[in-house]
Amino acid sequence: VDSSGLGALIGGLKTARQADGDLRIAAPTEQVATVLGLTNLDRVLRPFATVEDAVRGW
Amino acid sequence: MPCVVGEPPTEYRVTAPAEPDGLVHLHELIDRARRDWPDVSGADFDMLETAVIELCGNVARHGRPAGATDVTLSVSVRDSALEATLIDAGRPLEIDVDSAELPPDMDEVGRGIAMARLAVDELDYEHDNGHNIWHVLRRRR
Repeated sequence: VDSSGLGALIGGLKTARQADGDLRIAAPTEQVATVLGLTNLDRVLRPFATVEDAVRGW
Repeated sequence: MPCVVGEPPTEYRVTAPAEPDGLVHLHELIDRARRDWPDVSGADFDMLETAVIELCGNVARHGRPAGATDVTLSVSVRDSALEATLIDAGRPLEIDVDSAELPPDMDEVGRGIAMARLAVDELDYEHDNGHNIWHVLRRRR
């Protein structure tokens, strides 16, 4: 994922939150997980190992 | 007669249009090097690729005139590092690589150069003889 992709994810997260929803990342590849960490976006787009983990407690 | 298996190349090069569709050629080049060098950490190739694609994406988005120039990517596989050079004939960029910082988390734009800098160990830009030249180095982990 590049910075444009991250921007699109942030846009989606904002839209989801405005509708009282959320956007969560499940099963990211190593590159995606590393990039989320590099950019500190794992603070707002916390990655989960599986879809089941991501939707738990939704 | 013994079977001689050649060493993989250490230098790779491709020239592609500096536009979004041209990025696929840069991905393919790095994928080829990745396949040739299975002992090099995939994470090292990932981070070199992340930086290169950000830089080329920047050229594609902000170069003038858009899509009217080519970009040449050279990748070298060294014992201690992966190195890349990205050259295009676009206009000089007004950019201070060392001061590029990440924007606030919820901003949707403005991460590219900072992200490239964070992904690798060395990132340098110069404009020389009508060309933008990026040097990228990722030390092998």
